[in-house]
Order: sequence, then C-alpha cells, then structure tokens
Amino acid sequence: MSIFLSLNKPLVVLGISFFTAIVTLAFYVSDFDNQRALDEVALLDGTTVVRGEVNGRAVHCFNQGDSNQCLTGLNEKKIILWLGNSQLHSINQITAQDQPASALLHQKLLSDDGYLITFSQANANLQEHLVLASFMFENFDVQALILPVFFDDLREDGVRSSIIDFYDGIEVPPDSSHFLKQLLGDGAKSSHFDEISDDNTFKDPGSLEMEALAGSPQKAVEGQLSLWLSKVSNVWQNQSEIRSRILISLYKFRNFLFNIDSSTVRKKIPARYTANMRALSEIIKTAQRNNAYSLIYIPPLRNDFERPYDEIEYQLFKNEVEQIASTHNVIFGDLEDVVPNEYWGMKNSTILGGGTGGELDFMHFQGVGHVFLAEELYSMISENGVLGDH
Amino acid sequence: MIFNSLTYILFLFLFVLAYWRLKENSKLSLVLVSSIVFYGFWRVEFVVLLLFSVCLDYFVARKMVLVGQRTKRFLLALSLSSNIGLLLFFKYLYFLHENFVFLAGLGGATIAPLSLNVILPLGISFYTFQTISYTVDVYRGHLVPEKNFLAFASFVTFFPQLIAGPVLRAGEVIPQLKRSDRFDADDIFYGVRRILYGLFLKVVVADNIAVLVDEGFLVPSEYLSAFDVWTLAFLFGFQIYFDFSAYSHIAIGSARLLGLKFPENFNFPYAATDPRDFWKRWHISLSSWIRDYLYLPLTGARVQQRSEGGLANAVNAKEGGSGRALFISWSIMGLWHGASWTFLIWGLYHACVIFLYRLVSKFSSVQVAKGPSMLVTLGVMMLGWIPFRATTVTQTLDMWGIVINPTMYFMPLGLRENSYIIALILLAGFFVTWWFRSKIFSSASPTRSIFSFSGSILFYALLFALTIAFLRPATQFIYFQF
Repeated sequence: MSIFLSLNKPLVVLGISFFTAIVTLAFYVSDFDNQRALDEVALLDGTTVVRGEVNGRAVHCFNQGDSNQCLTGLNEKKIILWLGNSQLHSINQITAQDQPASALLHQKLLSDDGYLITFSQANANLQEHLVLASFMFENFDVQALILPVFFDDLREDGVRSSIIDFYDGIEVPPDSSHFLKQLLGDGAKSSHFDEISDDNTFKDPGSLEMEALAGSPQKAVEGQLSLWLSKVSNVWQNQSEIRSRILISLYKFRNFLFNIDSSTVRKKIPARYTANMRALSEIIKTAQRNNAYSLIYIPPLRNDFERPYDEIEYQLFKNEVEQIASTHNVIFGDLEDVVPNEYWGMKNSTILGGGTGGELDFMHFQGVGHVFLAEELYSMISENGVLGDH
Repeated sequence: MIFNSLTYILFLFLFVLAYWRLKENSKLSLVLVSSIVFYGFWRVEFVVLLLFSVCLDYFVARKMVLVGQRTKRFLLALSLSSNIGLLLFFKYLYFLHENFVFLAGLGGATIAPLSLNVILPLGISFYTFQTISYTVDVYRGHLVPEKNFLAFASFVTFFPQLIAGPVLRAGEVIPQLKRSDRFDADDIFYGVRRILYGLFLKVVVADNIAVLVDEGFLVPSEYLSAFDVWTLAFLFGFQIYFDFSAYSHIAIGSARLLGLKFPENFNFPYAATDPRDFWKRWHISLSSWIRDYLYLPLTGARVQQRSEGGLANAVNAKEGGSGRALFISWSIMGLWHGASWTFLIWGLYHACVIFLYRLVSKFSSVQVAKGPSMLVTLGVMMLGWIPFRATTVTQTLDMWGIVINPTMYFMPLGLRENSYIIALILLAGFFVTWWFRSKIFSSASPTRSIFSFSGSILFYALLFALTIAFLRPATQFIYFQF
C-alpha cells in the first residue's frame, strides 16, 4: 500500500477537492426538508401543498406511490374521479381552517351518496390524465369524471413515471387507443419526459434512474450498491433532490437572465398543444365507452392583472375546449371567474435571488378560493344530474 | 458494464488496486479476467462470441507467417469472412431481411417475418474492427503476430476500449500491456482527472441535452420551423459530441490508471475550418481505421499504421483521390454506425460534402477567412447530424427540406424556449472553452500554471459535486448501439 501513499501534489488537489465536494453536499442536504414532496420543491412557503382528507381518510392522492391510501376498499364503490394539477392541492397563504377543494367537494357529494377521489400532480398534462383515467376506468367503477383543462399545462408533454407506474404489471388492454399505447410505450417512459416544468417544479424521475441497465446483470449489483450507499450516506440518499434543486436553480438563473417571471407571456407550443388536445378527446371517449359522465371545465384564473398568455391563443383555446365538449356532448363549464380576485395570492419569486412572496400566482388561490371552486363544481354536478340514476 | 455507474467506479477501483499489487506476470491475466467480467456484466452469453473472435484471429495470424502466399490469403479471407459474417448476422440481419421483404413485396411475393430474436452484442462493431486491423496488419507484414495469447486477448478485450473504442491498433496497445511500467502517481492523477471530465460531460451535460433532443425529434415535422431544425441539429451535435467524447475521456483515463497511453479521439471538432480539418478532429481512431483499411487501399495509396490523423489525407483536396473510393468508404462508414438507411444517408452526405470541398478547393484560389470558414463548416457538419438522429428517411428529408425552404424561417417556433437557450449556451460554451484551451492553456496543465492551488480545488470540487449529484445509469452512451 505504500505506493498509494506516495501521493504527488496534483493527487492531493484531487483528494481535497473530492472531500470538499462531499462536505459541501452533506452540508447542503442537511438543510433539506425530507417531508416535502419532490415535485413541489419550487412552491416553497407562499404556497402550501395540502392533500384532501375526510374523516382521517385520504380522498386525494398524487400518483401510483400513494394511490393505495385513496383506492383501498373502493372496488365495489361508484366513484367520481377528479383529475387536475397543483391548483387542486395547493393553498396560498394558508390558514388553520383551510381545506382543499377536493376535501370540500368530497364532503358535499357524500351527502348525495357520491364518492369523490381526486388525483393531482404539479403541471399535469392531459396525456398524463389519459393514462390515469384509463387505469381508473379499467379497474374501478367510475361514474363521472371531472377534468379541468389548464392552458398552461398544454405546454407540457410526456408522462411521468409515477403515472406510468399505474400500469406496472398490468397489461394494457388490447382495445386501448393507439395514443394510450404510445404513451405507455418505452419511448414515453425513457425519453419523452421533462424533469422540470414551466413553473420550475420538479417531476419525479422515478424508475428511470437505472434505465440503461435494463436486462443486464449489472442492474442488480447497481441497485444493491445504490441502496447501501443510501443507507450510509445522506448525500446519496438525497441525490435526486440535490439534482432537482440544482436544475431549479439553473432555471431561476435563466429567469434572472431573461427577466422571466410568472407574468411573462408564454406562447403555446404547437405540437404539444395538439397532442394534449388529442388526449382530451381520448379521455372523453374513454369515459363514454365506460358510460360515465364527463364534466370538462376551464379552470379559475385571476383577472386583476394581465394574463401571462397570448390573448388570441387563449381565447382560441377556450373555444376549442368548448367545441370538443359540445362535439362529444359532455358537460362544459367556464369557471374562469369563479374565484374572486381578492382570494388569489402571491408565490415565491421564481427568479434567482428574487426573495419570497414577490410574484403574482396565476395558478393557486387561497383557502376561500377552494370553497368557491368546490361549490361551483357541486352546482354543476347537481344541475346536470350526474349523481342521478346513471 | 456501463461507465456512468457506481458498479464501474467500484470495479475500476478494485481493479487498479489489484493491478498495482500484482507481480508483472500476473497483470495480463488480471486484465483479461477483469475485461471478461466487465463484458459479462452486460450479457454473459456474448462473452463466448467475443472469445471466439479473439481465438480465431490469434490463431489465424500465428499461422499466416508460417505458410505460403496462397494459404495466407485464404487465412485472411477466413478471418475477414468470419468477423464480417458475425457482424452482418448480428447487426444487419433485420435490415437485410426488411429490405428483402420490401423488394419481394414489389415483385408481388410475400416473405414470412424473421422468427429469430437477434440481440446486437455490445461493442461488436468496435472489437471486430480491431481484430480485422490486427489480421490485416499481419497479412501486410506490418506487424509480427503476437505469440503471447494473454497479451493478444487482453488487447482485444481490454475493458476501457472494448465497447465504444477508441479503435486502436495492436501495435499501439500490446507493447504497452506487456511492458511493466512503474507506478506513477502522475498517471493516477491524469487518469482520475480524465475519468472525472468524462463522467461530468456524460451525466451532467450530455444526458441533460438528451432530454431536449429526444423531445424535439418526436415533434412531427409539420410543427417545426427552420430555426427549430437548426436548433435540434445543434443540440444533437453537441449531445453526441459530449456523450462520445465523455466515453473517450473515461476510456483514456481508465487506461492511464494502468500507465497505458491511448491516443486522443477528439480535438474540438466543431472548431474545424473545413471538412478535412473536421475529420482530423472527430472520432479520430475510427476515421484513421477507415483511412488505412478501406479508403487508401481502394485508391491504391500507401497506408499508415496508427490510429491518429483521422481521415485528413483522405479528404485532402490536393491529393485528389478517387470519387469511387470516397463514396464506398463513406457508405461503409455510415452503415457501420447502424443498420438503417438513415446512416447510409449520413455517410453519403459527408461523401458529397467532401467531394464538393475538393471541387471548390481545386477550382478556386480564394482564401476564405478563418471565422467564416469555421461558421460554414460548423453549419454543414451540424446539418449532417440530422440523418444520424432521425428515425426515418422521411423525417430526415422533411427536416432538411425545412432548412432549405426560406418560408420556413417565418414559421412560429415549435420547441420549448429552453431548447434555443441551451443550444446557444452550448455553442458559446464550446467556443469559449476552445479559445481558453488553445490560447490560454495550450502550453501547460491548468493545475500547474493558470489555476492557483485553491482555484484548482474549487474547480475540481465543483466537477465532483455535480458529477455525484447527477451520476446514474439512466442512459447508455450513444455509441453503445453501434
């Protein structure tokens, strides 16, 4: 071993550098809040993630990882399924008595013998909703589907692995649409996927971590090594979160360089828009094949400031969603103005060094906003006889 | 085994530790056994195929020097047909069958689909080229056949270069493997540094560009503007450069940990001022192989015996050369990369570029300034990556069609904003690094001259930290598929 001890100066430099890197990373992760969901890292203090619970039972889940908490024991029950993005599970400037709309609407529907289950993910796009909705229709008795169509999320693409994981071990039914099969295929899982969304939130990479080793004996060894390292090293245990925070910092730096914030106008991305609109039609058709109601709505949006959209594109989008709803003869509602302006809020700056509470939040509102949304949806459900003899 | 994994780091650490503790005569055995273990970590069953190739060329080459010219030629044919036959079977069977089915279909016949499930053995294109070059060199009398089986087997299977090169010659590697150099801490420093650069480029840079490239090439062509196509071409150009040069960094670094010096495989290719210059800088070992075993023999010119220099002289306008040899070489170069018409188009594209370059150089005496010629070369080379990445010929032609259509420059942008920003950052980053490297760091190691002690620590600590954060075997190296 003496040969390895006769180190020269450059090697000492590398040794000290490695040690410095490890110590710095260890110091960095010591500050992490391990309880915070990875995909909500960027929401931080202005916006709080709240999952709907009623009588101590979860009625609102995020993905395959926590779905058991919502779905256990529901095989024989008629379900109303609500899919959405972080608007459903985020409350701005939260107070002790605030509940998310998912819990509020669940309670209201219980009195009519309806059972609402909500699934929401940050920046969820309609392709992801198609995968999740298809899974739910295939495995549960879903009598109605509530689906907001967010203009922002039409800029997103691909399906995160924690949604594709719903199909792990479950064969895709042969009569599924070609589009669904395409989304569940290898291409979707391995590459067709953004880790960071428009608002700098992080989507989980999940099982993609060791994708390159699929089918090789190395996979088992790598898995064991990684597991062991996670047990002995806090840095390795938090590796994916470190990665996400670095990427988010880079995005904030980009925002700083180009002066991008939540009010900056985002143009639609034509191919993604088309793919998501196609997914919307597929979702409705899936619901109709399963004799379920579909309730499609344009989600609430604050209008006390100029919207971060190209106004022409946004109006065309709303018309198109209404047109799709009309073509398929499903319930449509424009809930854009349902939450009054005073019940929206602020979120942390998305610009590097921009401080806290500094940006208008066009997506999430305060607790009272959730009450307005739940009541409006309840009215729509009641008026359209969704819970009737269907 | 994949380089960008914990398994490889542990494997390499244990291997290097054992290597320097072993006595001289046991080192080759360790190299061979470790290389087989390394390969077996991907698919155990294909180790047999690798060893078959090793044994065949070892015995054929040994026999060659003992027999007459006629038998010698027969032995060469045996080696070539076996090696190329295996490559054809494993790599091109589906491609040949598909095209045969298509042609038969045109004639009204129907042919059943292949019932075989043929998996492409990892690295077969690389080790086949290495064994071919060895046998041909012995046949030409450029090389004395290696008597020591362990040394020859270690050369072919040597794990740092087994899967994706550099494609080295026996004369460059075997003497180094057999020579027992003293342990040198400078080699360890150099090796670790190159491995660190490689891992950083792969897991931090290339893998993150890959997300944008994958997503961009999935966008149907009707949604792409000319700027989008340029952006995708540049993004993929940088992805493949960082991905493959990362592999070469790790290969060179891993070999250096044993004291072996491998020639460089890349030299800032996008700073090339003409196609000739580009092929002196890109995948130098493969270009040199094509030069010595394909292009120059086809033109009847004198061959060289080193995996350096690239295809420069094969592209050299002044030397002229046969157009036939040019197009044959580049077609094979293209198809070597993959069994698909898109790779053939990639090869033919470069053949055309070189052909045009020769013509222009021949008839024009105008000296173009370095800047504009770099810019034009960069654009031409980047556009050449489109067939390399596109999944179909139609996609390739559509994308090229968009670039040459002036109206497509006024179409709305079809990619996410980050794609354009990152393409620009990569372009600027590449040229800034090249400028620093060629103007500032050209004469001395950065650690010893420009950087102070603390500056070096900060620089390497940042590389280590980012590499640790991003290290995961999420994607293979692009050249693994070849």
